[in-house]
Amino acid sequence: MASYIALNYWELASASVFVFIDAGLSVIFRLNLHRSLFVAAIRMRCNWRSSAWC
Amino acid sequence: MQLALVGLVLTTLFSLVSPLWTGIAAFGMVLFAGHEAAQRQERRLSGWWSYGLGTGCMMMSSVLVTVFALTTALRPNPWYDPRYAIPLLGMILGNCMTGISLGLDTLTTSLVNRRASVEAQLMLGAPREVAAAPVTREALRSALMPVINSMSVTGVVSLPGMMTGQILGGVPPAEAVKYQILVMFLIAGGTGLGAVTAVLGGVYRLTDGRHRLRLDRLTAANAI
Repeated sequence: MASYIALNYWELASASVFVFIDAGLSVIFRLNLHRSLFVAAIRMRCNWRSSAWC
Repeated sequence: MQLALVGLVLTTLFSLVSPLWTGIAAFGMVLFAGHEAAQRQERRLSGWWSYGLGTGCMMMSSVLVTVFALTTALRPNPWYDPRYAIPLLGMILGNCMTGISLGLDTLTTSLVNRRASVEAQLMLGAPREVAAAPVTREALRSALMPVINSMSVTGVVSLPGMMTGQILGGVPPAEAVKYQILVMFLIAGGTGLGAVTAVLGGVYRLTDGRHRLRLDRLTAANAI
């Protein structure tokens, strides 16, 4: 049996701070990537939730 | 051959669980990634800047993000456990290297192509940050685009190797998915921070305190 550290959603939420940092950088440098970044992050999460594997 | 050697090294490293050896392995990985990033530039910065800028930014961003993940999300005991630290750093570093490499390459190429426009703004009294802003923006966009694209298609178009490996190793798919999301967020953060520092460092190096464009600090190299 594989041993691993189980992650909870709060721990995932703590890592999502990096998406907000990237979005902040996009706003500061006027890259116009913040919307795409949020959409991609949310889509990635939804893709997995709707996946048959989950 | 290369993979067999890596297997041997990792087995030894995982059995030692030593902060010193984990640090040495991480440092070696960063140096090699920095070398590869510098090799991919069509036009390189002269002297140590060519190697130092990319390597320094890569080290800063990937180590920061990895330590953050190890101490807040994964929390293995001890936190530097190489079984977690080395693969995590490897994934972040690999993507960081691509972002920084693309960012610096776009920066140098755009500065050469738009030299007249940037110099005209500098002559009209614009500070170097303002004159180089369009080029900086273009470089940062090209550095971040691969991460955003891969986040958009993960799960629909591509099934990442790490997640597939975990499932094959016996981890429940729901747990493997959480790990994959965590890793994607960390990669996005590492690439963003690394690319911004590298591109701003490149702008700083290719201009000077008297707000002049210094393309003489570039050396032409053959792209691979």
